[in-house]
Amino acid sequence: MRLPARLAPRPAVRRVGALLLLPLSAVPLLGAMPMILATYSKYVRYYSSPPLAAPRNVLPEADRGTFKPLPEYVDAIPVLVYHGINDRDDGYSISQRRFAAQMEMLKLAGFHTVSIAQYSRFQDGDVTGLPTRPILLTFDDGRLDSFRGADRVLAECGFRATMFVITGEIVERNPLYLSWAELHRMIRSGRWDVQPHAYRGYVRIAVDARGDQRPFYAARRYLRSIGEESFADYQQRVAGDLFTLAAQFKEQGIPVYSLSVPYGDYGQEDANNDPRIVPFVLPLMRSQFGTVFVQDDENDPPYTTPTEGGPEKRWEAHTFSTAEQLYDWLKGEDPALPQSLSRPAAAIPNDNQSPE
Amino acid sequence: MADGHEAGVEQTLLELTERHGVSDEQLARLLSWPAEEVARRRALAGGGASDGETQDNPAPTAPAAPRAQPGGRLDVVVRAVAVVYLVFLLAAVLLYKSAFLKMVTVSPLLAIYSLVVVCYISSRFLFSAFYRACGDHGLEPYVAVIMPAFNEQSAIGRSLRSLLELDYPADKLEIVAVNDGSTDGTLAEMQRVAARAGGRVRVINFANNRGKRAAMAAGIRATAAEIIAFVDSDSVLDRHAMRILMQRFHDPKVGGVCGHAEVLNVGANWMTKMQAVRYFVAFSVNKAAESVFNVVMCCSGCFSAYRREAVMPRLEWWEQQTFLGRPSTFGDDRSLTNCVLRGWKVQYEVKARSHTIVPDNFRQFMRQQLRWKRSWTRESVIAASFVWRKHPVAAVSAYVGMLLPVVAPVVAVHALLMVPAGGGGAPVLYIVGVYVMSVCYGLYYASRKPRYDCLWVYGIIFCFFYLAFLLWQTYWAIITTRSASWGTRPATAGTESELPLPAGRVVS
Repeated sequence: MRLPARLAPRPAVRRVGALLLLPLSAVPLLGAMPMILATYSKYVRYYSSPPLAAPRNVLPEADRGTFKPLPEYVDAIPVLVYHGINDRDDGYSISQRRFAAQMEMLKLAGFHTVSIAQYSRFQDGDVTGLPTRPILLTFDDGRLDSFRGADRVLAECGFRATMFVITGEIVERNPLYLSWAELHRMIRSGRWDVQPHAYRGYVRIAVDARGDQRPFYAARRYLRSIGEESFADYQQRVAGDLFTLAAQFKEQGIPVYSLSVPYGDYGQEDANNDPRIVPFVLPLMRSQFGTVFVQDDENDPPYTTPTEGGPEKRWEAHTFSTAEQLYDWLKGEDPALPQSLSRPAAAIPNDNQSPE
Repeated sequence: MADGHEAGVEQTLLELTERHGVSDEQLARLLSWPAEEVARRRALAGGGASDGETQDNPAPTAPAAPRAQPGGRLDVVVRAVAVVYLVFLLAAVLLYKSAFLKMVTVSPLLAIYSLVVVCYISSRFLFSAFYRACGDHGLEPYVAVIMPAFNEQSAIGRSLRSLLELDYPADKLEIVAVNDGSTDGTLAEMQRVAARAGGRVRVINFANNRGKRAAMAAGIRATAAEIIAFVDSDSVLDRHAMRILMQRFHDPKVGGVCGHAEVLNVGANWMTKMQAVRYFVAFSVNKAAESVFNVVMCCSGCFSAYRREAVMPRLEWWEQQTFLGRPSTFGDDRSLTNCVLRGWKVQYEVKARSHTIVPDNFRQFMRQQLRWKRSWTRESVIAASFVWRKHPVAAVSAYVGMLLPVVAPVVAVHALLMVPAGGGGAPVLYIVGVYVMSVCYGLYYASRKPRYDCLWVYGIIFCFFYLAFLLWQTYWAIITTRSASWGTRPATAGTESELPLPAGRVVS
């Protein structure tokens, strides 16, 4: 009597459709996957890229004794430049261990780092407040790995450093470079100064039909369509880049005291260059930024002294630079030491490959 | 007999609605069947015409207790897939959260909120896994079902008769019908049923309308029953439901038990399908999780029972409850639960099933939800004052459950509008989060239902419906908590009284 009513069979299509809903429900999730992964890598990059711990025991006990304190001085400041801190053997990057060893050596030798503001006052002839045996540490490019590798080491030594940043990379949100937010955090930490390096100017450009390349600021550009640009075009291109760079720092509220010239080349490196370039660009850089920093061809520059704007030459760390080589250079150029006594032939010049 | 299973489920619905007194046309609308189909099945079910008179003397062919029908082999496989999928999703969410844990320091509001939401929801699933249905302790206490009515002459007779048909010893089940000053034939209808019920139906009559709580309180006072049960006039019970519910009272510390509610008019339209998934999750996940700690925050008015001893001390207070200077007219179920919860265990029984009719149109649904949110606000304030004395896990869950709906709109605005406006990326991740949560609910539904069908997808629709409409009601509900407006009746009916006609009830 109470037999279940026989249902009209539902279309099999409906059943299959219901089954298909299970895999279909995963489609939006799969669709969102790339975005989630991108978000994650961005998150890791910006929120989970803390400074690396400082390595321990970087200087062997035996070596420590060799880094004796150097004499005191205040009328000259050696300037060092680093690029990246990582384990790549690319000529310019240095391992965190080597970097830490150099910093510890500086500490043993009695150096005290100065801020870029202090250095700027020194350039103006004002030495009040300078510590004994001052030194300026700089990093070119504004790379994340530099910050991550250096920050804790600097903190342990009680040092500070100046980071010269390529704002074009920040604008492009290049994940390998520090963002403005990170740079501001670094400034707030009191361990870092942030200064300009270039906007779009950290590239090499073609300068002739053969494809020879020179740094962006250093030469007139060659374009296949129009040939070599006029000097006026050069001026417009370079000034435009530098003015934008200055404006960006103003917008960020970061005081500017200096400029590190990309590739250390504002046109002075090529004797056959347009002779109008150097007299144009160097004063422009000084007027916009203050002290101009470059590297030294021999990597054996003297300690810097007040020159009203440079160019000031920096000792450049290379992949295989050791604490000992740095100590020897510092000792060799020390203005307080008689040069004949302080220049052991073995240590100079630096035995690294020449830059680039 | 694959069809037989399906027929069984829908046959049950047919029987239930038949007992409940829904006309063929309404049934056709509710179940989305053609009228001829309804007539055909009614004939097959042996009920004949849906005339209440024929049911005064239950035939030997009284409807069997509706049971969950087992599905076919394919259903078993698909349900297993749904379970695996669900577990995978929950694991993926936890993995995601742990991977982004540091966001808590970067973007505290969004990150902490979403972390708490994830913990809260997964803890519901986790705790509900420890929930066990109550075994049979052979308990058959003396029960009184209180059924207040106001101007329900067309439905009250069938509602009362359906209670008389319950599988419970006749000498232990009393029905107290309270006529709350109806102006139609409700009283006559009650008396007609009572006259034939052999003293099992007691009728109390108010000459004037005094309100639902007054009617309920009068009903409670009129009986000496050990257990007081409430069944909505919109709800019908499985035949064994009352007996199953009573087994929970074998623990002398249990003061209240909430039965399970399914949506009866599930086939009506997408609104009711949506609510079907929502009810299922709300009961078999949320209430089950609460029940594990004996702290069920709301015994649904659909079907619940209280120990008389637990209700009496606060009955007067409950009847006269005011909130911020105004009488509390609705939310009587949540309020009564609160009264009992202070000093007693309150549990949920999944096997004691009722079937209830839910709103099938947007307007009614929104009004019902607003009403619920208002009483939720009022009762949360009250519950917050004592829940801390309960099990710490239950207390923390309760407070989090009170806080989340308040914070949710802020977070939604932040994620959907402010973050994109500030250049912080698209709100896609927020939407994905809501989607994952909704799929989880849907999958849970699919995995627990014997027969797999596409209904679970309405769980997804519900979550986005919630995001689009219900989320934003919260503040309005909080601001207007004092309001006593029932909100579901047309303006022309406003002259009658505050007596609730529950939203979506079918008036035949």
